[in-house]
Amino acid sequence: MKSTEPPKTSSWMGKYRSIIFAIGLFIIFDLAVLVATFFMSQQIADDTAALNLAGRQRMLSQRIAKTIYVAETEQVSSQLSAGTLKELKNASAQFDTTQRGFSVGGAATDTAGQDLKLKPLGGATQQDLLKQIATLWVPYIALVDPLTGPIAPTAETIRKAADYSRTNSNKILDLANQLTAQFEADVKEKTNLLRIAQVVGILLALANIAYIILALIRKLRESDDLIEQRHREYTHIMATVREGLFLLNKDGTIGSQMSASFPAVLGQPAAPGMDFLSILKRLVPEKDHEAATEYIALLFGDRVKESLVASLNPLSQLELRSTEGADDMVSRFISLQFSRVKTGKEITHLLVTAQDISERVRLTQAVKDAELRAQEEIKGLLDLLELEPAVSKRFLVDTEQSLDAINEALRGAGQTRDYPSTISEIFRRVHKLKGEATVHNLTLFETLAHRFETILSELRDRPNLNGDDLLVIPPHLEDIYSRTAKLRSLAERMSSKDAHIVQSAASGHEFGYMLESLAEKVSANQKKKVRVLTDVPDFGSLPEAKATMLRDIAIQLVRNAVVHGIEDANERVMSSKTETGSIHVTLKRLDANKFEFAVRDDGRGVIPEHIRESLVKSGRYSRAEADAFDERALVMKLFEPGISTSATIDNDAGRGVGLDVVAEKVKAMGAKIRLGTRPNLFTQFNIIFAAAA
Amino acid sequence: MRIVLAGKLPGAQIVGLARDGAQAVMMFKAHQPDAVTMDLTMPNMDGIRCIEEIMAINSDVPILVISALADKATAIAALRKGARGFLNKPFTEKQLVAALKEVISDE
Amino acid sequence: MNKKDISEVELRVFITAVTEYFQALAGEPAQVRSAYLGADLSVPQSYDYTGLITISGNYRGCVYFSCRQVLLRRLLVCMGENDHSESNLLDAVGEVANTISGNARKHFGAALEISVPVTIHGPTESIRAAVRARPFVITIDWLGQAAIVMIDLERLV
Repeated sequence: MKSTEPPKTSSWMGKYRSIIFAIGLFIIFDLAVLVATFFMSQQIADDTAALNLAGRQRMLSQRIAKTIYVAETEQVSSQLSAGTLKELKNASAQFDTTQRGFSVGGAATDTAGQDLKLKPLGGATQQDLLKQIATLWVPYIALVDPLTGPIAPTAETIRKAADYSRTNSNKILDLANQLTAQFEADVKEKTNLLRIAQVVGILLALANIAYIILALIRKLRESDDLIEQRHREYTHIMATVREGLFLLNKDGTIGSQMSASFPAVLGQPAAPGMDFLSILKRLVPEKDHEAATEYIALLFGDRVKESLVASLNPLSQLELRSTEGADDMVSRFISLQFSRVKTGKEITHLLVTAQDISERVRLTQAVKDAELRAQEEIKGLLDLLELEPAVSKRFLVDTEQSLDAINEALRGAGQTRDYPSTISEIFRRVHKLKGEATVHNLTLFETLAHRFETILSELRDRPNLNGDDLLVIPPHLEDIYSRTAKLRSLAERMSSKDAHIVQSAASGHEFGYMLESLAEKVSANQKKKVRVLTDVPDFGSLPEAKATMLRDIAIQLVRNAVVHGIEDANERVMSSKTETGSIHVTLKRLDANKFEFAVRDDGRGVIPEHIRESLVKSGRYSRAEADAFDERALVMKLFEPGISTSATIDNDAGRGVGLDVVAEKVKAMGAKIRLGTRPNLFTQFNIIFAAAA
Repeated sequence: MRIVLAGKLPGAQIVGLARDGAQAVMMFKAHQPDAVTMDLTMPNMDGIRCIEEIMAINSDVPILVISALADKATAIAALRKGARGFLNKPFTEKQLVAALKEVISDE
Repeated sequence: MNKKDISEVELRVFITAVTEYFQALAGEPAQVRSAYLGADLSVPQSYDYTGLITISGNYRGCVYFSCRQVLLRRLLVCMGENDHSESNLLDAVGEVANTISGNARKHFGAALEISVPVTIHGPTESIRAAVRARPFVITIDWLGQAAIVMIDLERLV
């Protein structure tokens, strides 16, 4: 599981770029307004100070004139006071400083008596006014100065100053008035300008803020919409996804979001916040629960590699215990998969995916079953083909008859209601069927019968057997029925080809060739080395009916010789024989109508004791009865159905399989059969018959 | 397995091949290898104890546990003791090489 | 691939439906007397009423319940029905078939399509389309009256 990347800073910046730009602009506007206000306020303050000074010049010009007139009056009355002159001196000095300050800059005292520095006035009108004032003032101060000097002024000087004052004082006043008005106008203008600048600045800032707010709201709505859309999609997914999905917290609880199908998949109530492992506890055996707990802990730890432990998931295929009882015909399988969820480097959750895999498991099982069944059937068919056709056919017919009898017993149970004895009867028949299958080495039927026996013996041990208990039997019966029918049709189809070859063997040469190829085929299957020598020149002259029967007998005897008479190469070498066994088949004309057919192999021979053992084993004879037979009688028993010595020697070898068929044909031919044998040396069958009846 | 590794993991060198758990711990002490692969069923000392002892010597060494899937619980226990990964028997050359690379890798 | 075969479990689904139905109606369950393989689909001569359902989907074939008139009369009595007219007798046998179909649906789920019951009085030559060579026959007994359930089904998946 890949960890989710945190949103990148650049994209975050991009998303809000316009808003950040707007905020920047807002700050710039505000600063600009602030700076403008500061400077203009400064100027306005300067101008206001100048305005005040200009006003004072007005007043000073009047005071200068007045004190001159007072001094003139006092002079006349010879009462010129030092105070008047001092006042004149102060007023004129103040006027002069201010006038100079206005025109070229310099220190001055403001109206409150504070020192201040004046800059030369910038405006042309003001400079012009100042010049006019200066024109009047320079001669004026020249006349006033002597009045305020250390030497007491004369009446003459006072009178000159007073005369000048009378002529020009009002002009200066007028000019000062104009200057004041000019300053006033300037201040007004600047104040207006400042107001406008402030209003514009504030309006711009307001517009900016409005933009920012709108943009933010839009962004918020966009992201709200996106979140809501994601949430909706997510809810849809969680509501409809068929898999159970949720994040498992480190504390073992189910995370807040869980797909709706999870409880259904699990077959258990589950909700966010519940402890996952305790839910699991109800579903799995204790041992698996422990393993699951450990496995989850392993994934939460950061030591193991996730990809290298996935195969250990103990919950990858869970068979659910059926909680509903009879409602669940077939058990369900679920798979729980865990994937790490990382935030950064830390494993914070496990994503748990729960899937119903019943169908998958069932299909896998079905394929396995079908394969097994097919294998069983092929094996069954091969086993049957090992037998000669007549024997296999009879086995299958017998089997079907047994099954019919079993079915009849079942049907009859409805009337008798003696279920224990019905089961016993069926058991006996199945057991016999199993025995026959074993004798013929037919593993499939042996297995089928064995399975059937297991069920039957379980029923037999049941105390109160009733009709209901029988329900288990028909499906088994049917299974064996259908397999038998299938094998029968397959075997018939295969052996009909065999029969065709055999049927077409009409001449002696063909007959010989057919027997040689049969021996070759069978010996290859048996992994033995066999050579067949035939001397059957008169076969072609036999009547059709006798020839057919002799063919069947010959096939049987040659097959028997290969399978049961000839030993394998090793065994032969141990008995000081050649590796390759030989079978001699001869047909001799004894006289005009009589023939002798002989099949002789140089194999292990027939051992009477083995026949005795097998008679007892077959259950057909008691030990005492078997012991009573002499050797000749024992050998004759080989021609009875179902007797084989195979089990006493080894799986393949043994006399008697299918010899009852030979005996039947011999009887039908009106022939005589003789068996000659010496242990470890040979077995020879001689059949003497008449060509025409 | 020795041959497979020599061919498929350039730069890898097999420093020891232990017959049983006790020998594995001894060889581990002697060679201090970069990685260990271990079958859980060993004579003399079981895999779990062997991992415990190796972890006691060097808890950083990556161990790849190899076992049949039949006993998941034991394999999980081995991983809980400190092994890094698990490979189930039987495996192909390719799977072994991939698993070893994964177990050695840091991420 | 081989057709999967019908198991004991599946047979029981059909049989239990019938035995429990009788139990519920009369307080006396029907007993299974025997279970065997039938040679063909024919209804025993003496059983004159038959309720049959045909099944498709995961399974294919038919299931029928067949009994004598006297059993149906007792069934009607148990239901408190005194009108033993032909149509009521056919309804009764149809109801048993219906019960079988209900139980089958409950156990095999939606993948099973079941026809409405067909009810027949008299010889049932129309029951022909056999899917099995040897259908399953289960004889049951209720209050001393015999009946059979015949299951001729094959499983397709």
